[in-house]
Amino acid sequence: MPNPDRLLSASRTRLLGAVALLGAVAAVGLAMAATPRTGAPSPAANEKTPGAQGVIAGQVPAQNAQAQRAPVRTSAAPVKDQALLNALDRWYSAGQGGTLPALREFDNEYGKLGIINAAGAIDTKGHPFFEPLGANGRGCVTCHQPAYGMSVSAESLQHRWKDTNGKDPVFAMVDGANCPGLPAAERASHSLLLDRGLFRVFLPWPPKNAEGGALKPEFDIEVVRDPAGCNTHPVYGIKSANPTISVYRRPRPAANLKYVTASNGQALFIGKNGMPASIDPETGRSTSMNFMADARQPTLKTQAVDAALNHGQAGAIPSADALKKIVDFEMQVYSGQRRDRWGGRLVDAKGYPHAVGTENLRDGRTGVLGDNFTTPVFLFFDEWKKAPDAKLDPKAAFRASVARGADVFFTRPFWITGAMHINTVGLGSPTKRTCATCHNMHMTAMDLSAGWMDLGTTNAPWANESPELPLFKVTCHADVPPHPFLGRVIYTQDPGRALISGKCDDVGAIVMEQFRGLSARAPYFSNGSAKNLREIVDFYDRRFNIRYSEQEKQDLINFLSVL
Amino acid sequence: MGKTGLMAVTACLALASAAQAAAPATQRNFVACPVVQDTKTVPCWLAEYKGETYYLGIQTDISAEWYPPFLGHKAMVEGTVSNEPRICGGIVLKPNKVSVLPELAPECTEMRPERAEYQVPFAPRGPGPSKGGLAFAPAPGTAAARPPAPAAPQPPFQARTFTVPYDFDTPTVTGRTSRALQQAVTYARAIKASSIEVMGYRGQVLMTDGPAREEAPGIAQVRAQQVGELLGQVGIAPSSIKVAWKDAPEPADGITDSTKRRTTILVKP
Ligand code: HEC
Ligand code: HEC
Repeated sequence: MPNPDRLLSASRTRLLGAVALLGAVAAVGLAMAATPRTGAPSPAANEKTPGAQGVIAGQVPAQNAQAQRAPVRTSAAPVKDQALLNALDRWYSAGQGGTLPALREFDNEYGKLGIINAAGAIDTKGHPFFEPLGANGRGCVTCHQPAYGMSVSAESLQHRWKDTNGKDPVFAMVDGANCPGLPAAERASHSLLLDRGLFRVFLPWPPKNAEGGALKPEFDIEVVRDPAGCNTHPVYGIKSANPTISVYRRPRPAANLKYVTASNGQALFIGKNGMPASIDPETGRSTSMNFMADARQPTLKTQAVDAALNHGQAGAIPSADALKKIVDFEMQVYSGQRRDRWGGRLVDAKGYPHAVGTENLRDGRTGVLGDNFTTPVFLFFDEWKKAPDAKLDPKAAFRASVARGADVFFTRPFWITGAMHINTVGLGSPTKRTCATCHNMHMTAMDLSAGWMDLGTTNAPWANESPELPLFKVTCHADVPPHPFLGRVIYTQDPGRALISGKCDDVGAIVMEQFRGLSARAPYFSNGSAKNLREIVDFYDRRFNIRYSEQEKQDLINFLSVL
Repeated sequence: MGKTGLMAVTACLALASAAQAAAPATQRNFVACPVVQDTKTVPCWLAEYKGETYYLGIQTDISAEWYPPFLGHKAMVEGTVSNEPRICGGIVLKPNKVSVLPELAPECTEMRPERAEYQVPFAPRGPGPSKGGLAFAPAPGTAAARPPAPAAPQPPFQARTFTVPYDFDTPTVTGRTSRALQQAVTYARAIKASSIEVMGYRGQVLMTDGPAREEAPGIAQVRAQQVGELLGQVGIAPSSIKVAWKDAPEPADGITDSTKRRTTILVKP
């Protein structure tokens, strides 16, 4: 078992410097000011920023101490005929062995998803992405399943519950239950995972800096509603000896990561809010800040350590070799819809449309701004626009609808209002723009800048009613500016980036997911609040009062389904 | 116009330092709710003051010099009346500086529907994707888009000052204003700076109907400390950073007041 204290004690020496600096600052300030003022301390009185040292992000030791307390079931005795079950089913169990071929397709409601290993077939036996990470029998693959776009759908989890009587390692109590203390065998203890596809993400409060020290947050947080009981729990909760906040989030696709991790490495500050950029502890270069709902992990390597210690309840940090194999695998695996529901390839022999299909994803350019007509986010669909008689040729009619949907996504303006970290970056609020304003990265429709924004998926007043999720009341301190759109008191289901930065204006800001393989991995949004593609579109229609016609909605849905 | 303008400036400077009467006659410095006037393409941003409508700017994108404010907040407008034809019904204030005031103002909600007579043919970017590059940036892939990297500074090194500007009553650095910090850090590293002196200032604005409106007390300190901390957080040795601030508001002249809200970073070899 790793000793959390040892992980924590990485380097505390620099803290002494912090104290010295603050002293000097105060001294100089007092000497210079004509009339020295009291009060109004600096709102950002933090010497260090969130991030990682070595391979360990600041919050991980505290999380790991929690993960080590959660019960580990030893029940993972394989269900009879596991191998057969797996063959029929599309589920990869950690440690089952076998090959993940260079190309494999999986059926879904809208057609077939393609998974491509650009480096060729993967022998999963002994491969650290596919082997159990620690005591609870989970591997990375347990929650990042090829069939489900390298994520996992709520429906697949329901099947898995039935097939294994709830004994699959994916249901491990540490985060596959609403709270570790609940009775393991009961479905109700896992309702958030089974009904909404949500894993528990448990983070220390106050947030940690890169060295594991406490950051001074700009707000106080109270638990208003706690249906799962985890935030008020004596061992796992916010008032426990290791104060922890639990939020519930979807696993995000562990694929197409060359896009997600692309960064020029130069920027010292985040273009959105002027805060210090997250740094790769190995190279000192700034990172993309574009993965995990809160971008708390600077690199795939530090992310893998976090996943092994926390999701996997591993007793030790994976070896350097294992980490390299995991990251190498992630950087060469591509996931995207490949066939339509009539069985045909979505792209033609020349690869048209050039942003669709798994091969085009493998071959696409990274770090390209797509909110322009030169390299549109998903390039061009004009050849699909011929609208035939739908009765005679439903496939061509579907393609025409996709092409119209691409236009709705790309060019149909509406008023984007009150979205922190997009209206605030120079566009004004409201700004008359399109989906592609926020979703501007070529090939993935993420944000090319650090990805977090408050779209309203987790914050009142826009978040969908979710009595099954916790609700927090955030009160911003008087010495910082209020949140520009929500003021000083904010109710949220998931404070998002603010759980890492401690900043009032980050409350509810969530890193956007890539748009790929959507057909394989419902429900959507970080908190699983959109059950299907239609509910995504309906959310936007309500949030921004867009007033889409039924035709526009269907076109958008069809468009999203082919990505 | 040019000459009288100048005289007005001089006169005003004298006045400001003496009695701080009011902003010069060509200046409109006021606080009001901003108003969105929609057009067929991108919206105009307007503000009303004493029964007159003023045009502030149009929506473009992040490459613009001028950024639109927010509904739901009042704006501090500091602008000069120009003799350009009205746009979207408003007298053109040019140049103008618009600050979003931090506290929420739920009463500021006005959006006016488009009208045939209000058009903005000069808009460099419509409400959708750009034609190629950003509105005010060269198209990607062109030679102009990739200017040669500035030459590394050569000894003997000079002390250089980098200035972080602020919106009225805003205490913190933003994405855009962090560029001054990036430049300061780059320069400090290039010349292996011996010391960095951060000085925070508090501004005030000479209002059109007087008197001056001061920024919040203590803001100079918050500005300076945040800049000092940011420099430390990105790796400048804390022992080389000196942070100080001036809490008395900078003198106001009604014209250049927006430039006085600042933090300076003096990088010394
Ligand atoms: C118990 C389920 C589970 C296991 C096991 C798991 N993950 Fe995850 N993974 C998640 C969840 C949930 C998230 C989203 C967390 C968040 O947003 O805070 C995630 C996010 C990620 C992301 C970010 C993707 C993006 O674009 O945002 C990557 C990469 C990833 N996981 C890789 C791994 C690796 C590598 C392993 C094994 C070492 C692993 N995961 C094991 C559930 C899991
Ligand atoms: C104000 C910025 C903004 C605009 C405009 C916007 N989005 Fe999003 N979008 C986001 C953010 C932020 C997320 C992540 C939110 C979350 O997970 O809670 C997101 C997530 C998504 C996802 C990913 C869902 C998933 O779970 O993988 C899809 C699909 C999506 N948006 C579609 C659209 C469409 C279609 C439009 C136009 C109607 C649109 N977006 C407009 C910011 C925006």
